[in-house]
Amino acid sequence: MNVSYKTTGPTSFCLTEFVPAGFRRGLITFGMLSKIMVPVFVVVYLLKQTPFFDQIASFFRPYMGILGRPGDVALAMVVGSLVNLYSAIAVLAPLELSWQLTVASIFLGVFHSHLMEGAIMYKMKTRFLTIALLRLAVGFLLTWGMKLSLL
Amino acid sequence: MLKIFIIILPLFVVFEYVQRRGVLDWLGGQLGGNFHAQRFKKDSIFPLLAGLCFGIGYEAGMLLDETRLERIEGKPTFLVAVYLGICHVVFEDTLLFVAIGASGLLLLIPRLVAASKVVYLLGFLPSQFYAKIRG
Repeated sequence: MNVSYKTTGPTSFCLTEFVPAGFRRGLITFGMLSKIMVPVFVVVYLLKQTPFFDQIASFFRPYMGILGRPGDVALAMVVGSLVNLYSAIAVLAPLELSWQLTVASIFLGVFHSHLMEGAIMYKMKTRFLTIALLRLAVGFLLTWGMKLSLL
Repeated sequence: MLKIFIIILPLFVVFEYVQRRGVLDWLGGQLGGNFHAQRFKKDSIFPLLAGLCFGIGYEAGMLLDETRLERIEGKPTFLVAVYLGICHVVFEDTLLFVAIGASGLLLLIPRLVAASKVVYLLGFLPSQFYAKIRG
Protein backbone atom coordinates (compact mmCIF):
# COMPACT_ATOMS: atom_id res chain seq x y z
CA MET A 1 0.00 0.00 0.00
CA ASN A 2 1.21 3.45 -0.88
CA VAL A 3 1.55 5.52 2.30
CA SER A 4 2.00 8.97 0.85
CA TYR A 5 0.21 10.61 3.77
CA LYS A 6 2.61 12.87 5.56
CA THR A 7 0.78 15.28 7.87
CA THR A 8 -0.60 13.37 10.83
CA GLY A 9 1.94 10.64 11.33
CA PRO A 10 1.26 6.96 10.73
CA THR A 11 -1.62 5.90 8.54
CA SER A 12 -4.64 4.83 10.57
CA PHE A 13 -8.10 3.64 9.53
CA CYS A 14 -9.60 4.11 13.01
CA LEU A 15 -12.80 6.17 13.01
CA THR A 16 -11.58 8.43 15.80
CA GLU A 17 -8.45 9.16 13.78
CA PHE A 18 -9.52 10.00 10.27
CA VAL A 19 -12.87 11.65 11.02
CA PRO A 20 -11.40 14.48 13.14
CA ALA A 21 -8.49 14.81 10.71
CA GLY A 22 -10.90 15.15 7.78
CA PHE A 23 -13.02 17.62 9.75
CA ARG A 24 -10.00 19.74 10.51
CA ARG A 25 -8.99 19.87 6.87
CA GLY A 26 -12.57 20.67 5.91
CA LEU A 27 -12.72 23.55 8.39
CA ILE A 28 -9.40 25.02 7.26
CA THR A 29 -10.54 24.82 3.65
CA PHE A 30 -13.93 26.33 4.45
CA GLY A 31 -12.14 29.24 6.10
CA MET A 32 -9.98 29.79 3.01
CA LEU A 33 -12.99 29.58 0.70
CA SER A 34 -15.13 32.00 2.70
CA LYS A 35 -12.35 34.58 2.68
CA ILE A 36 -12.74 34.71 -1.13
CA MET A 37 -16.41 34.03 -1.60
CA VAL A 38 -18.01 36.43 0.87
CA PRO A 39 -16.41 39.58 -0.64
CA VAL A 40 -17.39 38.41 -4.13
CA PHE A 41 -20.98 37.83 -3.02
CA VAL A 42 -21.11 41.41 -1.71
CA VAL A 43 -19.62 42.92 -4.88
CA VAL A 44 -22.01 40.98 -7.13
CA TYR A 45 -24.98 42.05 -5.02
CA LEU A 46 -23.96 45.70 -5.25
CA LEU A 47 -23.33 45.51 -9.02
CA LYS A 48 -26.80 44.05 -9.54
CA GLN A 49 -28.34 47.24 -8.10
CA THR A 50 -26.64 49.34 -10.82
CA PRO A 51 -27.27 49.32 -14.62
CA PHE A 52 -23.75 47.93 -15.13
CA PHE A 53 -24.84 44.60 -16.63
CA ASP A 54 -27.40 46.21 -18.95
CA GLN A 55 -24.74 48.47 -20.40
CA ILE A 56 -22.38 45.59 -21.17
CA ALA A 57 -25.27 43.65 -22.71
CA SER A 58 -26.24 46.51 -25.01
CA PHE A 59 -22.65 46.63 -26.22
CA PHE A 60 -22.71 42.93 -27.21
CA ARG A 61 -26.28 42.84 -28.57
CA PRO A 62 -25.45 43.53 -32.27
CA TYR A 63 -22.90 40.67 -32.42
CA MET A 64 -25.29 37.95 -31.29
CA GLY A 65 -26.38 37.21 -34.87
CA ILE A 66 -22.95 35.74 -35.65
CA LEU A 67 -23.66 32.85 -33.32
CA GLY A 68 -27.24 32.50 -34.49
CA ARG A 69 -28.86 33.93 -31.42
CA PRO A 70 -31.36 36.76 -31.04
CA GLY A 71 -30.17 39.95 -29.36
CA ASP A 72 -32.11 39.37 -26.16
CA VAL A 73 -29.78 36.52 -25.26
CA ALA A 74 -26.97 39.06 -24.82
CA LEU A 75 -28.16 40.06 -21.36
CA ALA A 76 -28.47 36.43 -20.28
CA MET A 77 -24.96 35.70 -21.55
CA VAL A 78 -23.42 38.70 -19.79
CA VAL A 79 -25.20 38.05 -16.50
CA GLY A 80 -24.47 34.33 -16.74
CA SER A 81 -20.80 34.70 -17.53
CA LEU A 82 -20.24 37.23 -14.75
CA VAL A 83 -22.69 36.37 -11.97
CA ASN A 84 -24.06 32.81 -12.09
CA LEU A 85 -26.28 30.45 -14.02
CA TYR A 86 -29.34 31.05 -11.87
CA SER A 87 -29.56 34.69 -12.91
CA ALA A 88 -28.91 33.74 -16.54
CA ILE A 89 -31.79 31.27 -16.43
CA ALA A 90 -34.03 33.90 -14.89
CA VAL A 91 -33.35 36.00 -18.00
CA LEU A 92 -33.57 33.11 -20.51
CA ALA A 93 -36.71 31.41 -19.23
CA PRO A 94 -39.32 33.97 -20.42
CA LEU A 95 -37.77 34.35 -23.92
CA GLU A 96 -39.49 31.29 -25.51
CA LEU A 97 -36.57 30.11 -27.65
CA SER A 98 -36.50 26.72 -29.32
CA TRP A 99 -33.21 25.26 -30.57
CA GLN A 100 -31.51 28.56 -29.80
CA LEU A 101 -31.95 27.83 -26.13
CA THR A 102 -29.74 24.75 -26.39
CA VAL A 103 -27.15 26.74 -28.31
CA ALA A 104 -27.19 29.54 -25.75
CA SER A 105 -27.02 27.19 -22.82
CA ILE A 106 -24.03 25.22 -24.05
CA PHE A 107 -22.08 28.44 -24.18
CA LEU A 108 -23.27 29.36 -20.70
CA GLY A 109 -22.52 25.87 -19.45
CA VAL A 110 -18.87 26.25 -20.42
CA PHE A 111 -18.42 29.96 -19.69
CA HIS A 112 -20.09 31.16 -16.52
CA SER A 113 -19.80 32.83 -13.08
CA HIS A 114 -16.42 34.35 -13.73
CA LEU A 115 -16.44 36.75 -10.81
CA MET A 116 -16.72 33.89 -8.34
CA GLU A 117 -14.76 31.22 -10.15
CA GLY A 118 -12.01 33.63 -11.14
CA ALA A 119 -11.56 34.51 -7.47
CA ILE A 120 -11.39 30.83 -6.52
CA MET A 121 -8.96 30.03 -9.32
CA TYR A 122 -6.83 32.99 -8.26
CA LYS A 123 -6.68 31.57 -4.77
CA MET A 124 -5.68 28.21 -6.25
CA LYS A 125 -2.63 29.93 -7.75
CA THR A 126 -3.44 28.91 -11.29
CA ARG A 127 -3.64 31.42 -14.11
CA PHE A 128 -7.35 32.21 -14.07
CA LEU A 129 -7.10 34.47 -17.12
CA THR A 130 -5.57 31.67 -19.19
CA ILE A 131 -8.33 29.34 -18.05
CA ALA A 132 -11.04 31.91 -18.75
CA LEU A 133 -9.69 32.43 -22.28
CA LEU A 134 -9.57 28.67 -22.86
CA ARG A 135 -13.16 28.37 -21.66
CA LEU A 136 -14.21 31.22 -23.94
CA ALA A 137 -12.55 29.54 -26.92
CA VAL A 138 -14.10 26.16 -26.13
CA GLY A 139 -17.48 27.83 -25.56
CA PHE A 140 -17.38 29.50 -28.96
CA LEU A 141 -16.21 26.33 -30.68
CA LEU A 142 -19.00 24.26 -29.15
CA THR A 143 -21.59 26.94 -29.89
CA TRP A 144 -20.43 27.22 -33.47
CA GLY A 145 -20.38 23.47 -33.97
CA MET A 146 -23.82 23.13 -32.47
CA LYS A 147 -25.19 25.96 -34.61
CA LEU A 148 -23.88 24.21 -37.71
CA SER A 149 -25.28 20.85 -36.74
CA LEU A 150 -28.67 22.06 -35.54
CA LEU A 151 -29.47 24.50 -38.32
CA MET B 1 -22.45 29.38 2.32
CA LEU B 2 -24.24 27.04 4.71
CA LYS B 3 -24.76 24.60 1.86
CA ILE B 4 -21.03 24.63 1.13
CA PHE B 5 -20.27 24.08 4.80
CA ILE B 6 -22.63 21.10 4.99
CA ILE B 7 -21.19 19.50 1.86
CA ILE B 8 -17.53 20.20 2.43
CA LEU B 9 -17.13 18.61 5.89
CA PRO B 10 -18.33 15.07 4.98
CA LEU B 11 -16.51 15.39 1.66
CA PHE B 12 -13.24 15.94 3.46
CA VAL B 13 -13.86 13.09 5.89
CA VAL B 14 -14.41 10.76 2.93
CA PHE B 15 -11.40 12.26 1.19
CA GLU B 16 -9.22 11.66 4.22
CA TYR B 17 -10.37 8.04 4.46
CA VAL B 18 -9.94 7.47 0.74
CA GLN B 19 -6.43 8.87 0.79
CA ARG B 20 -5.42 6.72 3.74
CA ARG B 21 -6.90 3.60 2.19
CA GLY B 22 -5.00 4.14 -1.02
CA VAL B 23 -8.23 3.96 -3.03
CA LEU B 24 -6.85 6.65 -5.28
CA ASP B 25 -4.19 4.32 -6.64
CA TRP B 26 -6.88 1.85 -7.61
CA LEU B 27 -9.17 4.55 -8.99
CA GLY B 28 -6.28 6.06 -10.91
CA GLY B 29 -5.73 2.71 -12.58
CA GLN B 30 -9.41 2.26 -13.37
CA LEU B 31 -9.94 5.70 -14.82
CA GLY B 32 -6.51 5.90 -16.43
CA GLY B 33 -7.75 5.91 -19.99
CA ASN B 34 -10.53 8.39 -19.47
CA PHE B 35 -8.97 10.94 -17.16
CA HIS B 36 -5.38 10.70 -18.34
CA ALA B 37 -4.31 9.83 -14.83
CA GLN B 38 -0.64 9.93 -15.76
CA ARG B 39 -0.94 13.62 -16.36
CA PHE B 40 -3.42 14.37 -13.60
CA LYS B 41 -1.56 12.49 -10.85
CA LYS B 42 -3.58 10.34 -8.53
CA ASP B 43 -4.15 12.82 -5.71
CA SER B 44 -6.02 15.14 -8.03
CA ILE B 45 -8.56 12.53 -9.15
CA PHE B 46 -10.79 12.77 -6.08
CA PRO B 47 -10.98 16.59 -6.24
CA LEU B 48 -11.80 16.16 -9.91
CA LEU B 49 -14.73 13.85 -9.19
CA ALA B 50 -15.92 16.17 -6.42
CA GLY B 51 -15.81 19.07 -8.86
CA LEU B 52 -17.71 17.13 -11.50
CA CYS B 53 -20.53 16.29 -9.11
CA PHE B 54 -20.74 19.20 -6.67
CA GLY B 55 -19.05 22.26 -8.08
CA ILE B 56 -15.89 24.18 -8.58
CA GLY B 57 -15.97 25.63 -5.07
CA TYR B 58 -15.65 22.22 -3.43
CA GLU B 59 -13.16 20.98 -5.96
CA ALA B 60 -11.07 24.11 -5.59
CA GLY B 61 -11.27 23.73 -1.84
CA MET B 62 -9.82 20.25 -2.04
CA LEU B 63 -7.15 21.37 -4.46
CA LEU B 64 -6.33 24.28 -2.16
CA ASP B 65 -5.85 21.80 0.63
CA GLU B 66 -3.69 19.57 -1.57
CA THR B 67 -1.50 22.45 -2.67
CA ARG B 68 -1.28 23.65 0.93
CA LEU B 69 0.06 20.22 1.91
CA GLU B 70 2.24 20.34 -1.22
CA ARG B 71 1.06 17.03 -2.57
CA ILE B 72 0.31 18.17 -6.10
CA GLU B 73 2.12 20.88 -8.00
CA GLY B 74 1.78 23.20 -10.99
CA LYS B 75 0.98 21.00 -13.93
CA PRO B 76 -1.71 18.71 -12.46
CA THR B 77 -3.34 21.67 -10.73
CA PHE B 78 -3.52 23.59 -13.97
CA LEU B 79 -4.86 20.62 -15.92
CA VAL B 80 -7.53 19.86 -13.34
CA ALA B 81 -8.46 23.53 -13.25
CA VAL B 82 -8.81 23.58 -17.03
CA TYR B 83 -10.85 20.38 -17.07
CA LEU B 84 -13.19 21.65 -14.42
CA GLY B 85 -13.28 25.13 -15.85
CA ILE B 86 -14.83 23.68 -18.99
CA CYS B 87 -16.86 20.98 -17.36
CA HIS B 88 -18.10 21.09 -13.78
CA VAL B 89 -21.31 20.54 -11.81
CA VAL B 90 -22.39 18.70 -14.96
CA PHE B 91 -25.54 17.31 -13.38
CA GLU B 92 -26.95 20.37 -11.66
CA ASP B 93 -26.16 22.80 -14.50
CA THR B 94 -27.56 20.50 -17.14
CA LEU B 95 -30.74 19.92 -15.14
CA LEU B 96 -31.19 23.67 -14.74
CA PHE B 97 -31.17 24.12 -18.51
CA VAL B 98 -33.31 21.06 -19.14
CA ALA B 99 -35.84 22.58 -16.75
CA ILE B 100 -36.33 25.54 -19.10
CA GLY B 101 -36.43 23.32 -22.18
CA ALA B 102 -32.93 22.69 -23.53
CA SER B 103 -31.73 19.29 -24.66
CA GLY B 104 -29.83 17.57 -21.86
CA LEU B 105 -27.65 15.14 -23.81
CA LEU B 106 -26.63 17.82 -26.27
CA LEU B 107 -25.40 19.90 -23.33
CA LEU B 108 -23.68 17.14 -21.39
CA ILE B 109 -21.75 15.14 -23.97
CA PRO B 110 -20.03 17.98 -25.89
CA ARG B 111 -18.81 19.47 -22.62
CA LEU B 112 -17.30 16.21 -21.39
CA VAL B 113 -15.69 15.48 -24.73
CA ALA B 114 -14.35 19.01 -25.16
CA ALA B 115 -12.86 19.05 -21.66
CA SER B 116 -11.12 15.69 -22.17
CA LYS B 117 -9.74 16.71 -25.53
CA VAL B 118 -8.42 20.09 -24.38
CA VAL B 119 -6.73 18.56 -21.33
CA TYR B 120 -5.33 15.77 -23.47
CA LEU B 121 -3.79 18.29 -25.86
CA LEU B 122 -2.48 20.53 -23.06
CA GLY B 123 -0.90 17.50 -21.42
CA PHE B 124 1.67 17.34 -24.20
CA LEU B 125 3.21 20.62 -23.08
CA PRO B 126 6.35 20.08 -20.96
CA SER B 127 6.34 20.66 -17.19
CA GLN B 128 8.72 23.62 -17.46
CA PHE B 129 6.00 25.50 -19.29
CA TYR B 130 3.66 25.05 -16.34
CA ALA B 131 6.32 26.16 -13.89
CA LYS B 132 6.52 29.40 -15.85
CA ILE B 133 2.82 30.14 -16.07
CA ARG B 134 2.12 29.33 -12.45
CA GLY B 135 0.86 32.64 -11.05
